[in-house]
Amino acid sequence: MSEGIWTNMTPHIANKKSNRDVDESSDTFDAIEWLLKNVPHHNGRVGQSGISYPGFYSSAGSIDAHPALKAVSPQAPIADVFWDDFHHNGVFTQGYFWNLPIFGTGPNKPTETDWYTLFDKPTPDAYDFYKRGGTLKQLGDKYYKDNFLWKELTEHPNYDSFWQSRRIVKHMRNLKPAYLVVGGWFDAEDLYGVLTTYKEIERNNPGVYNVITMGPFGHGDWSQEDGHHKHHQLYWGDSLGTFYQKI
Amino acid sequence: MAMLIVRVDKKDKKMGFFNNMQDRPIQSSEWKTYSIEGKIDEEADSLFFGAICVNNGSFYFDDFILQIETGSGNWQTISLPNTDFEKNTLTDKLPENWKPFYNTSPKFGYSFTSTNTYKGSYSLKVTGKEIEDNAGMNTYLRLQSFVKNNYNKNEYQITMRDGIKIYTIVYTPKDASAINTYPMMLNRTPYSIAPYGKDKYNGFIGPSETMIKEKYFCTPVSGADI
Repeated sequence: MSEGIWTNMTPHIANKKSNRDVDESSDTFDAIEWLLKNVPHHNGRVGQSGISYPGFYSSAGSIDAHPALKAVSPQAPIADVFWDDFHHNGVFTQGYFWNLPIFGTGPNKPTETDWYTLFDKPTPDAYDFYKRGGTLKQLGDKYYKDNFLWKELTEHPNYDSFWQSRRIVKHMRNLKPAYLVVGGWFDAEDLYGVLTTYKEIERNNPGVYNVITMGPFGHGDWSQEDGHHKHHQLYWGDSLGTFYQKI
Repeated sequence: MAMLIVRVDKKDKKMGFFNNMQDRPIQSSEWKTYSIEGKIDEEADSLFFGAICVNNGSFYFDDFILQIETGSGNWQTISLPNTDFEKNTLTDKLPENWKPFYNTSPKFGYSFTSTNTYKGSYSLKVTGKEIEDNAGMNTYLRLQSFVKNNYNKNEYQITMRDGIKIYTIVYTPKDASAINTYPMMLNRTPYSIAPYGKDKYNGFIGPSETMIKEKYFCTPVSGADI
């Protein structure tokens, strides 16, 4: 439903020279400015939260923030996609191979329905799929010739300027809002993002209100109550999501 | 709770028309007629219709009808086998001529009843039991009805400084006024912020039930552009 071209982890532009220089920080600023002017009966205070990619948008939107943005909660955020999420400690996270169409194709125009098509898995058994699939290069050639994220991942195997420019936490300086960083110890996407986000805010912004809370959860699982909270065979208790949200 | 579902798959393997009554799940225990109406995509390859059962309990279905509008106001009924469940036999544990949409859960059983029917001699009875993981769905429905009762929904296209328009939904507390103001919470996302449409309400409009109930302007913003 939105216009524009999707970019994975939009690099932050520190010195914006024109209205063409836009990033998540400027888009968040512009959205807040418009909403405060056009939606009546708010109290002038704005917060932002989000889980996973929206966690990254919460971090990015809080840089050079609109003065009305008072509180920000990056939850399971991506901090630097070379070290977390699609990579784990710099190594491509092979388990996400199937999900690449979501992030490496369109949408190039507003849409109400899914813009991506996941390929039909020849077998539901991931181990068997990779064993039969040959090398990663062979798999990529077979499924993702037109996938721009696959192109980016394979053209930049090292921590070069392409990835460095996507490290949002290095721009998290001179921050003004208060921060509540939220994560789960069983997050496969993974712990680097949430811990690095908290650490970098703390290190580079003395005096800013910055707290972190971590619980026995998978990726974003605290946000939706699942009743009987389990990780595989480990049972942690009932109604933990609700309890966690309250604290 | 149950929903009817209609899905069109296109030749390019993308999904076309889709409706699963997410915004109006069936919770009544009376016999009622529910319908889903939509446009079959031009590149349609296949059309699925059926029902989703959620949680424990008994679910009764009868007399599914597929109609295609051939001319303005002219609805032609497509004849399909056993949509009225009059063949009261099971094949591979399912009613004849019906297939599982994804996987059928072993926690749901199928049988036929002649004591509670809408039409004809039999209706299909689906029984869900020993399902313990549906707290999420119950929370969603409880919140969806809270949101409908306590918030107004508006949709906007907000123009960024570079001219790009960003689609934004704002849920406003109904009792917001000049003297009763609320803060605003953004959730910016590259994913969908469905359901779309002024009258279609989401249940999880905020980070937690506590916050949704305390009320504030919930503002999901879609589309992260550069």
